[in-house]
Amino acid sequence: MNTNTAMGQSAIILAVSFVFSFGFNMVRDDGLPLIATKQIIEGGQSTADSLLAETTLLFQPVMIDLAIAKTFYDRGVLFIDARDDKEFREGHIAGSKLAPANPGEILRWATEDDPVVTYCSGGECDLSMNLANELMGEDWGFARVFVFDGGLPQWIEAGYPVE
Amino acid sequence: MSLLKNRWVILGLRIFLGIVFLYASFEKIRDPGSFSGNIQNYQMLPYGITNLFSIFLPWVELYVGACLILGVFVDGAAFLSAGMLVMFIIALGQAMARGLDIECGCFSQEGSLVGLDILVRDIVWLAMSVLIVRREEKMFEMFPKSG
Repeated sequence: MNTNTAMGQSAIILAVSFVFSFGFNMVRDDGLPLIATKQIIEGGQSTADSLLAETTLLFQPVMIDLAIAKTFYDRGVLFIDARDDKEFREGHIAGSKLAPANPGEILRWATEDDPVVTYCSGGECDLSMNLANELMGEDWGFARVFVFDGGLPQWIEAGYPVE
Repeated sequence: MSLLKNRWVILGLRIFLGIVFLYASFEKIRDPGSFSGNIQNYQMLPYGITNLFSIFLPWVELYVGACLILGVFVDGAAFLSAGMLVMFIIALGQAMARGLDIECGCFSQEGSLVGLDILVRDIVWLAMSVLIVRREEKMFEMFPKSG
């Protein structure tokens, strides 16, 4: 390694960074998994609008935070409650629909090209993601499905409309 | 523009950029999870690999900052500094072009949104890095030793 050239020196700096960064990540208590498994898109209104744009291509459901979910809600996007009908009757996001046993019935309320948001009870609940994956799968072919990760608890906490 | 080649000016730029990078690295090393979220918000990388960036990049910033200040591997550090800033400028530019109103994730402070001021700031810092790479006189460089 030639330590007199910018390239050689850069390579050494990168190598040292590599060893220390991943080494430290391994030994620290709160180290990150090397492969990120959960992505929640955050942002304001124009980020939300860019996600809603018909030119936005999604290959899998996208998780969104409370602010973006609220913007979608205000724009009239269809919200689907992925929990069971008992929980749905006890309270749900105002205007949202209970997920039908056959996901295809969602086509009564929206077309495959319309954006759809799924949610459940937040936290470890994965019903909303399962439903979203199903909707974007081969059987139904919805183009843009979003998962409101915070779910009903976060929605209620923010004081947004429920019924 | 001999002023921009003055060895004292170059030394000042080295120390200034060094402090910028050190300062940028600390909070990200402390909390790589938040930084990973910031990277994801740019919607530029496949999200599976954002953790790799958020683990690795702050340490490059740390060493680049330290090298610039201490005068170790100044050529390489300034080259990497320029490289990182080009990357940041591309990320900022595409975020602005797509109208993403997201946090910059540049430093620790929250609420600093992506915008033209940050883009211009990064371009100025890129110019400083290039001046350091192209310096003619070396000053207080420990390794390789200056003059």
